[in-house]
Amino acid sequence: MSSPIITVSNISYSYQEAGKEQAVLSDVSFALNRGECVALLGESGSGKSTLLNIIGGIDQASSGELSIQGLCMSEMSEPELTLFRREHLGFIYQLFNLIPTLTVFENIALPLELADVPLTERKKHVSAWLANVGLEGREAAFPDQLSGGEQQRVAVARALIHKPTIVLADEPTGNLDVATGQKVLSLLTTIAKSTGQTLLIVTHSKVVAEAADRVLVLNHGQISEGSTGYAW
Amino acid sequence: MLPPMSLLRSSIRFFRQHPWQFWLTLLSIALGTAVMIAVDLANHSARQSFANSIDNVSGKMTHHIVANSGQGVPDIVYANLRLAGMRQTAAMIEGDVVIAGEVFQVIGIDPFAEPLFDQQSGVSIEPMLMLQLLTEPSAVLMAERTRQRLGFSLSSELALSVNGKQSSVMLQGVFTSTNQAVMDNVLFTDIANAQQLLRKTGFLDRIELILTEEQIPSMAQQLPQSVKLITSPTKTQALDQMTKAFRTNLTAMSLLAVLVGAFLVYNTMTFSVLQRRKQFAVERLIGVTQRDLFLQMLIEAVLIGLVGALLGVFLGALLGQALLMLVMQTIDDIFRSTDQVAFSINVWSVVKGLGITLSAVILATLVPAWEAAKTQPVHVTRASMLEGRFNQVLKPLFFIGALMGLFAFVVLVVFQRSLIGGFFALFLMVIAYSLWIPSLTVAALAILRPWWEKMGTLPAMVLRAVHSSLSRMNIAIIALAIAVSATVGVGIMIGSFRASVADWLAMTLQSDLYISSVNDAESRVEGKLPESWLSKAQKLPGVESVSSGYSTYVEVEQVPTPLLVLNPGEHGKQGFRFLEGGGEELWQDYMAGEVIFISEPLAYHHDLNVGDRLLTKNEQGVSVSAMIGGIYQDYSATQGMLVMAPGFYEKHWRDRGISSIGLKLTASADGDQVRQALRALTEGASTAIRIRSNKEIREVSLAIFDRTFAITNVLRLLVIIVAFVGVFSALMAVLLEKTREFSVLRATGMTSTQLAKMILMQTLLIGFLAGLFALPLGWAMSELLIHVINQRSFGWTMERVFSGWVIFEAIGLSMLAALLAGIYPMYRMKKLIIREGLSA
Repeated sequence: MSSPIITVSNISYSYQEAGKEQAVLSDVSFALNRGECVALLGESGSGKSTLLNIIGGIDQASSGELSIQGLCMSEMSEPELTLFRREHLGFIYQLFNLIPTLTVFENIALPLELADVPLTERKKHVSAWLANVGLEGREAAFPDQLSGGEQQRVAVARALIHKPTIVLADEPTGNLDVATGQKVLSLLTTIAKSTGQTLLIVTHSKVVAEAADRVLVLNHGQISEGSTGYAW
Repeated sequence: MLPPMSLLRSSIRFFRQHPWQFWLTLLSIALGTAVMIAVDLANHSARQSFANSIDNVSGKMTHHIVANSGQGVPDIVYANLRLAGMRQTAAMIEGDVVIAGEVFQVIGIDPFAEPLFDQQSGVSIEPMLMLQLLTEPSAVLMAERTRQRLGFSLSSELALSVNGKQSSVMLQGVFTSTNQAVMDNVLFTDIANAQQLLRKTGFLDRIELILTEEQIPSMAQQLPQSVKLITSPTKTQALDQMTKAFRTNLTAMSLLAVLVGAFLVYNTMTFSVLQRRKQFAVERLIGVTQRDLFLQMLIEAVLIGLVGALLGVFLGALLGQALLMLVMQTIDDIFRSTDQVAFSINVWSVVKGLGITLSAVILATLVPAWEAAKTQPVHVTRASMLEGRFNQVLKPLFFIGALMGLFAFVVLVVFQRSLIGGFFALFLMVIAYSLWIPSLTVAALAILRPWWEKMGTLPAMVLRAVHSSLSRMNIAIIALAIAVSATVGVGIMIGSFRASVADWLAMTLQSDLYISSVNDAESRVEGKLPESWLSKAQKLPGVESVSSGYSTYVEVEQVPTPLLVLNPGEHGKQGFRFLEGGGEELWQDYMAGEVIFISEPLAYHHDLNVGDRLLTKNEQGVSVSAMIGGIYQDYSATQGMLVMAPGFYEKHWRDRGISSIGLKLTASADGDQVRQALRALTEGASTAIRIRSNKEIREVSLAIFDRTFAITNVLRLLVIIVAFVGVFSALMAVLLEKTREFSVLRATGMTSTQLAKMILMQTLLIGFLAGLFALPLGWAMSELLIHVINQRSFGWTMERVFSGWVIFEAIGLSMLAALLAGIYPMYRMKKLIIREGLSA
């Protein structure tokens, strides 16, 4: 068994609403191993996206510890977190979140550009990724000229092009029809597997959960190991 | 019929959820209204102060008797008039004293001269107190309000200082006045007491009287040589005529602020429609009519406009007080001095301001309201579709702009001498150009794109972000471009004007030294010099030639117009640049009294040409006709000026004298030595004398010039501030709209500094484009201001002086305004919470 790449220890998260403290996550602990594909299930409002945001370094837990690749995330400053995200994390969203004013090529190349990768290298990488996601010839298109499935494939390429160690996907197939969702999922898991990337997918989809190596279930802020037999 | 209440509630909630949008809209409306109302109130107060001033207490008087010399009118003249049965007379003596650190105006009155306290003055004094002014030595009366404010007791002794010398008076009683502000720091006392206090024993400042046409000649005949009879200046009317152009200029400038404000209202309302497009679609789906949506938008606009305009009234009242000082300064400098300045709120100005603002707001909302009303239930429109529609209207806008430009040209040609026509054309031109700016922006972005995008993805994103939100960004660009173009246009005009004035001064001031009898203001020459000085000055060592002038006023079509009775000497002739006429023969005709000269503004205002005859009246009311021999360039008097030879003047007027002497020195003369000799010559003069070099006069004149345009600079700044609010508002709107996009970038690894830089580039690009577009409009504005507005306002022509710096200034100012407007949005984005942005 390889050593965990993500270790979540006793993480709790709460917020104040009308003077009352609302607990979202309570004492959540789990670990993800390198190259593992894990589906995070749970009802709406169970805290899945919050947990994903905490792991992604865009939200802070109220208590507990999060370590990624042995680095304690809570000790990082904001600029350090930004650089960490830039190098080690990839995000995929339900609503694609492509930059509407950038072309397909520029959207995919964005993480490389932020990391100051030279243009020639970028071109090479983007061309390869366009082929990987089946969008050759569409590099000059803008997001609003693409279908939902195509947009999500661009998002997958953008999330993976800089070879992050962890990919965080928040309902990546939630906005797609079943067939397109399946294609995108297959693309995502295949590439992640082949490159040894850890994949954490927040989902409501049984199909997605079945494609994962492991299932975690969040229920009323508590996490537990689950199975694909989760009550769909 | 009103739309359903739930729609109006939804409107209120929308703006409660978007407080920054609400407040910025209010601010832009309030600022536009404030500038307009402030200018109007300042103009009105200046006029009112003048009308209410003590000069005009006896407003129904037809004539004044004033002194020919600086000492004043001997009081025996007044006594003789009263003894001769002239009951419709009032003696006036006035001066300033300081009591408890405040300046008071002491007015000596004759308690028996009933006409003084007429209805116009609004002053009411009990008859017993009038009597006590006569019987009690040192008795003075003060306004009750002033007495209460300063806590003085009745019958108490008040210590005062007059020109630094201590004295005291007795507060005998109080008076009331309907013009409280004007009478606030006024002391009434008996003439004898005033003479003693002000050290004018035996003299009066003037005698005011009512004369019929038949009485004028005999009255003029029986007056002693030391005084003269002049027509009572109908000052309010005269001021109205003289300052009309000045006030119109200020009003036009303030309307520009309203125009910029209206663009911002349009921007806000358009943006609010955009934000609620889905909501409107749903409302239409459940049965809301197009009319309901249209009315909903209009009601929103009217309510916001009303609140903003009321806020503007309050701000305008505050700003107006500051502007009043600048307006009065200009009126004092250019036209004539006023004694009392009181700021008053004129209800009509406020109503007018509210009306114009609300009309502008409603007009600006019509298009967005129509957009909202057109929403179809099936529309779940994306911004890109709206932007697509924006692109479709580019050509029609350009075409309408071209038509408006053509219309502006027609207005200029048809209404050749109308100032209002000139301003109307100017506004048409500004609006026409505004309609071209969207097309110009698209063209400029297309030109910039190839090399801009070579800089990388982030700069490309910036350029495309501007392009993709053109419907909102363009209004900000238009608002800023108009504001900057006003600065450019007015700047070029002022620069050209200043250069022309400096050039004219250099030519006009042919003498090296000038001796003049002056009043307290630096710009006017009044009173008389002993004529013996002329020959004495001529004999001073180092003096090559001497010129002399007598400055007075005559009426030309009821407007008091400066008259210079000039003996040019050998050198003075070079000081005239004739626009029509000229040559040595003309000077011979002039000296022979066959022709007079008139200045360019006088020729323009009265449509006079060389060869025409100008009609005026002498002090006896007899008409004097003079042939115009030349029209010369002059910037000294907006109402124009006449120049006539001493021979001609003395033939028609009884008044004699000189009020200034010009000395041309020899090349080897020592200016300081001549000046010293002149000081010795003028020592002991009874009137205030000033000896100044042409350089000093030039400096003073240019300083006055700069003061005159101080208010214009303030107004330019205010217009820029309104535009700044527009850019700020547009940036905030676009940035908030792009919160999710920015959050994705941040989540992807973009640092907050990189994001801030991106926003900085965007604001600078907007500023650059606005500055660039401001240049042609500013240039066109300057052409109109110089060759149309200025000529129609003042009758002045001038050469346009254009400095290359204007380009840098315009673009720099525009980028600076945009940069300042971008600071807070940058800060907001730097503090962006990615989690919240992603779920936005």
